[in-house]
Amino acid sequence: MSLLEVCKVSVEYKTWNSKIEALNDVSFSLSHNEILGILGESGSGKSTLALTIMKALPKNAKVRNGKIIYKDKDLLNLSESMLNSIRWKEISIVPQNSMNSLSPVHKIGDQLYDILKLHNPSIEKKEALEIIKEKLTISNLGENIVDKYPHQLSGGMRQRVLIATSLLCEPKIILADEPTTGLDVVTQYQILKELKELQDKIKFSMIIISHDISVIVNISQRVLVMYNGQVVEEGKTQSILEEPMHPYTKALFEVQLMVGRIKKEDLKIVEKQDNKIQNFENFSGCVFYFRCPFATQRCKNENPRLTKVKNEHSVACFLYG
Amino acid sequence: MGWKEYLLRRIIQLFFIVFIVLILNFLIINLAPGDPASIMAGELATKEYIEAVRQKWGLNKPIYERLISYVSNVVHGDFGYSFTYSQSVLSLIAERIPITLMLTLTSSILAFVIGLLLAVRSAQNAFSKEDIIVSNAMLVLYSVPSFWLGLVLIGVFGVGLRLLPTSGMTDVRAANTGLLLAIDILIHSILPISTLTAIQIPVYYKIARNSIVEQSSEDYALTFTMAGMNRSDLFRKYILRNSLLPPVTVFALHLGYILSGAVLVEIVFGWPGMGRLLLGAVYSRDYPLIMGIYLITSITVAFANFFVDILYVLLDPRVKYTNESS
Ligand SMILES: Nc1ncnc2c1ncn2[C@@H]1O[C@H](COP(=O)(O)OP(=O)(O)O)[C@@H](O)[C@H]1O
Ligand code: SF4
Ligand SMILES: [Mg+2]
Repeated sequence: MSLLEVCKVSVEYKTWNSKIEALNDVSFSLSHNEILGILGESGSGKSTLALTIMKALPKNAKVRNGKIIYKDKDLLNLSESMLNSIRWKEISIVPQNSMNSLSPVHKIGDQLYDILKLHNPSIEKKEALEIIKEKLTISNLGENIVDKYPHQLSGGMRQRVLIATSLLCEPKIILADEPTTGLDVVTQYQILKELKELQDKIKFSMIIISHDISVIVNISQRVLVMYNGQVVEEGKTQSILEEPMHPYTKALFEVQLMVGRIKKEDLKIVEKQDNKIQNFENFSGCVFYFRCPFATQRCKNENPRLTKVKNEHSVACFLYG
Repeated sequence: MGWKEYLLRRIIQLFFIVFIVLILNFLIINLAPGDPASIMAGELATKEYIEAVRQKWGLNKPIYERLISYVSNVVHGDFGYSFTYSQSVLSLIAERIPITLMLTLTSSILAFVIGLLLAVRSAQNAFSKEDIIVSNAMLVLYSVPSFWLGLVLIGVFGVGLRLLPTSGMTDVRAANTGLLLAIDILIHSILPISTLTAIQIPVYYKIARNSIVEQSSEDYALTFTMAGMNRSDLFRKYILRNSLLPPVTVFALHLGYILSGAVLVEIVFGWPGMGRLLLGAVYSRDYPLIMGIYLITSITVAFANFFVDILYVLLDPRVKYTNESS
């Protein structure tokens, strides 16, 4: 039984002169205690997906269709108050790392206290402080962090504070949107390791989002590859590592994992400029058509569906039937 | 560097600035064409007085000695003597300060509060019809000169509706005392305070509105929203606090012009404050008085800047106690 079920979700953004299809029929499920990786280049719709699950999309975004089922309820149809009872208590997020992910003029302890209080209105300050310190400690931070301001911490420590924040109400699911992007490689590795240890110890499901294959491969059991708002490949991490199928996944793997011996044509695929978004509306072919070296006439007219090729490994490409 | 050390440093810096102002003040008197003694004594001065001034300020001595005695005179509260008013400059200025502050301080605080409230309303419905209308109205108000607005208000509420007095601080004919006098002054202050308030509101409105809109789309706002915080709590606890720095800074900087900023409005409404004093001093070439007002005004600006620096550190933990600005 899966814990979270995302069914055929499509989201578009309206800007003053255009519509951007950020998610197109995205479906997947997340099991108990599973770590699911979502891989895709910048702009492929990963953050939009996380925001859709948190129901925190910006005003100009519209969920065109789809359902997100959690505990028999469709998150996309919940009232604001129902939603606020699920947020953080059931599903929380480690936001994309930035200087201002927390308020720069409030002490970290006070901010975490406010969040904790949202979901435990009757909690005593002393008890709250205990919980906050405990979450900071398990996130590998000192208790003295409560009296610090965000700018007094290093990037890695700030990211750990965000991890501790996401753990505050002991959620069942944690979304981590680029949790290590912008950090140095050593810190990245440490934080990933800590996240994995945390997940082992206190058990939660996690969706980890990154453009970086090494991050995804390092930590997740299953991987979803996204391209231009669509899931183009899905499978066990091991299976995808051993045999990437979609031409986009293949090219990404070649470029990112085998830096020493990059094939020229792969680099070209990854670097090739995207001109599809402008004429997306009247284009009904494969999302990867404009960059794909194997594209055929069929790819231009039809969009391949995600189909199972072998055990729990699916791909959306006509090369596989 | 610790907080106390920082404060001490800023205070020393402040003294230094005031000292430079003093020296500049001195140089302006002494480098002006003509005989400094007769300039300082004023046009109405007698020969004896000019001679007395020359002796007192040591104008026959070398310039550095004169500088020392000027500074020491000022430090001892001797700003010179105004012939037009037959009164010491310092006591003249001291009399006018509260009269001007009544207008400027009240209107600054009112403008800040009203501007902020309007900004909150606008920002919460940013880019709505109301926001756009208010924003544009503020732009118009911003471009209105204070004296013109004063004259319009006089025309409407004084001459037209005959509701409010339009000139002076008291009704001279009534010769009120006590509570009645206080009420009389209050009524007389309504139009000048309204004028000054109205012309200052747009600045606070614009800065606060943009600051709130900007802060509302900061990452932390999203974090707290996703954590389940509702809009009003988010605004009250986080966005407002983060948005306050720019308008508060402008307010504090504005305090620098608290004595000299209302000159035109004081003239339009015949309000006997610093502005009128300065105008009178200029007309009658009362140099000691002009220099005294100039000195006090510059010192106010220096103090306001000092105040802003301290405020910054108190309001924004990101500001380090470094000495970049010095
Ligand atoms: N607020 C927005 N308004 C308009 N377009 C947006 C907005 N946010 C994201 N987009 C567009 O939606 C697409 C997906 O963006 P995003 O979900 O942020 O991708 P990722 O997280 O994978 O980098 C991009 O083309 C991006 O330009
Ligand atoms: S369907 Fe066609 S265009 Fe799309 S990835 Fe496969 S081969 Fe390339
Ligand atoms: Mg993103």
